[in-house]
Amino acid sequence: MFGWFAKRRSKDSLKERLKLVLSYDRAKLTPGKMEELKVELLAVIGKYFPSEAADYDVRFEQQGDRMVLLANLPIKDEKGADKGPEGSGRKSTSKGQPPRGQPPKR
Amino acid sequence: MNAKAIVVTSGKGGVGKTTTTANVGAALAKLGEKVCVIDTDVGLRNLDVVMGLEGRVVFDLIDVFEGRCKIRQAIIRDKRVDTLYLLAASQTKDKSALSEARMQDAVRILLEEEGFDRVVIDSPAGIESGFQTAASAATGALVVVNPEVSSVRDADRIIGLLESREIPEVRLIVNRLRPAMVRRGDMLEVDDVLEILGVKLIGIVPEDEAILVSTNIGNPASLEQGSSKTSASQAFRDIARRIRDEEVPYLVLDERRGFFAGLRKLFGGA
Repeated sequence: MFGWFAKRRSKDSLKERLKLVLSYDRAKLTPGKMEELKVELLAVIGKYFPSEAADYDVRFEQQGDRMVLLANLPIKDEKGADKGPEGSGRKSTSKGQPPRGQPPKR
Repeated sequence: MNAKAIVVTSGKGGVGKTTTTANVGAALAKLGEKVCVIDTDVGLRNLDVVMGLEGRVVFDLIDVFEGRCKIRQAIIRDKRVDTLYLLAASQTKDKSALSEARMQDAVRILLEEEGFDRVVIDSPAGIESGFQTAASAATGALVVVNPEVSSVRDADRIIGLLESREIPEVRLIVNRLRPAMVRRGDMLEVDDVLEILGVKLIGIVPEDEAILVSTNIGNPASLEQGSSKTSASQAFRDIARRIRDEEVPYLVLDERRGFFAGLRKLFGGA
C-alpha cells in the first residue's frame, strides 16, 4: 500500500495512448507517414531557417470539434543560440509562418 | 431523444450491445411504450435467448426480408410486458440476405402501420454490412463502450461512421464501469471517455453480476423490481427514461460513497 501515490496510474497512460492512436485513426494517417511528413517538412523549412531535427515536434491536436496539425519548429537565431521549443511565441503552424514580431533572420 | 428507431452499436464485440438492447427495450416498454427490439446479427442471433423468448421464434428477419411472412407474423410478444415485441435474426441464412432498403421498409411498417412507438435495433459487432444495415434504418444511436482501450478505439470508429450516415442523435453508454478500479486510477473515468470520444452521454452502467444471473434465466434485469440504486438494472431503467427526455440524475460512484453507505448501515440498521 505504501507509495501507491507514487505509482503512475495506468488509466493516465491509457488515456494518452488512446488520444494519440485516435488522432492517427481520425486523420487516416499511419505513424510512419507522419514521420515522412516530418522529414519533408524539415527539409522545406530548413531551406529557410536552419534548425535541427531533434527540436521538431509535429503532431495532431484536438481543438474542440476539429483536428489540427501542430508543428513546433524552433528557429535558431544568428548566433546559433537556440532558445528551445518553449521559447516566447515560437509556436508556428505547419505553414511555417514566422512568429509575429520576430522576423526571421538568416 | 426524438428518434423512434434507435440502433445499439459498439464496433467491438462483447461489450454489452445485446444486453443493452434487451434491458433498454424492456424498460421502455415498462414505461408504457410499444417497443419492438430487432436482432440484426444474422447467423449469430442472441437477443432471443437473452430475453428468454428463444422457444417461440417461428419466423425471422430474413423471412420478412424475403417475403415468406408478414412482419406481423414474425414479431413475438414478450411474456412479461405486453407492449414488448421481438423480431429475431436468422440463425441459418447468411448475411447476403441483408438489405438496407428492406430494413428501412421493415422499420417503417412497424412505426407507421403496426403502431409501434419505438424500434430498438441490436447491431452486430464490426463495421461491415450487418452494422450498416442496422444503422441504415435508425435516426438515433446508442453507442455502447467499455472503459477499456480496444472498446474506446472501436467506438470512435463507429461514431465516425454514424456521423457520416448523418444520424442526428448519437448517445454514449459507458458499460461495465468498475468504481473501485476508477478510484484506484486503473480504469478510465466516464469524463475521460467523454473527453476522448466527444459525444453526449446517456448512461453509466456499473459492472454487475446480477446481469449475468438474469441473462441465465432469460429475464431482462431491468424488469426486476427492488434492485439496488447502484445496480446495472437501475442504470438501464434510467437510460430508458432519458431516451424519453426525462431528467434523471446520474449514479454517484465516487470515492466517499462506500464510506457513507457504510455509515448509513451502521446507524440506520439493515
